[in-house]
Amino acid sequence: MSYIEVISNNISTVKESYETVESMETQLNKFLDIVLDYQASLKSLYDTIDELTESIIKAQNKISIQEFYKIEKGLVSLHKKLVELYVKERNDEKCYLVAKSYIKNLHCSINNLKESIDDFRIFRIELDEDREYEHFVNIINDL
Amino acid sequence: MCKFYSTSDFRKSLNLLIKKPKEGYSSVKNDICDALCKHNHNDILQFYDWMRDEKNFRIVKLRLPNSGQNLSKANGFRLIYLIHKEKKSIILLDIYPKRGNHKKNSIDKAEINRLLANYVNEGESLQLHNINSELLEMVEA
Repeated sequence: MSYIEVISNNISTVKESYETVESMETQLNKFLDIVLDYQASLKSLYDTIDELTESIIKAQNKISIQEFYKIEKGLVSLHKKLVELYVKERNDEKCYLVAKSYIKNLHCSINNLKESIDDFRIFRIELDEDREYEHFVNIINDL
Repeated sequence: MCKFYSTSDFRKSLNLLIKKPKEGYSSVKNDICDALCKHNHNDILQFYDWMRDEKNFRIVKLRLPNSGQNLSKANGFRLIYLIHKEKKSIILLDIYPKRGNHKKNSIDKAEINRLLANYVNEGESLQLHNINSELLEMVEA
């Protein structure tokens, strides 16, 4: 499986986890105010995931270190938002426990995504170094 | 007879080592000359502790003792050079010690690329050396 495939799979897993978190809405009806806040946060998280997906799709055509920085920045932002959610849900124990298990899964899938991006980045750096080496070899062979 | 040239990277590393004799690297020029001066091009082409063999040249890492500190090859210096197969010229790219203040454990791909870039960029302005006389800098005849 290629790095891009691994990253794409991990993105799907992250999206699925978000969908599961979103389904909490029905379970949390009596905490409507919290859920509304929660949905707003989820919407924002979705937007970030969409940005990440876009970056990955772009990356398939032309991969640059800048793209990885963008993805990493997105992941950092996701983590920050997740921490905010934890704090918010902590006010109600029942809601908090449900949220905690889903968000834990979400954390896990985001970490997998981050790891696969890191693996890919190392692969890219090594590939770039090999290409750079080949470039100099060609020049020196012709000297 | 081989011709020995150096890049500015090599001279910078060399100067760093010989700048302060108390650091224990002052024999480095002698140690380089001793390892290379008694051998012809074909001999030197066969020397290596690590190398990349390319069509017209080789990049070699050679272990040298540090005679000033009585250190073995394992604990002495690492000389990185490029040897052309046909042109009979050797380009000294880098030198670093395995012990002491300026010790370096190894050299990575990115560093090799940087040394090669330096060689390619310096082209005609490489420094010629006398390998029989403590790497004395010479003017091309």
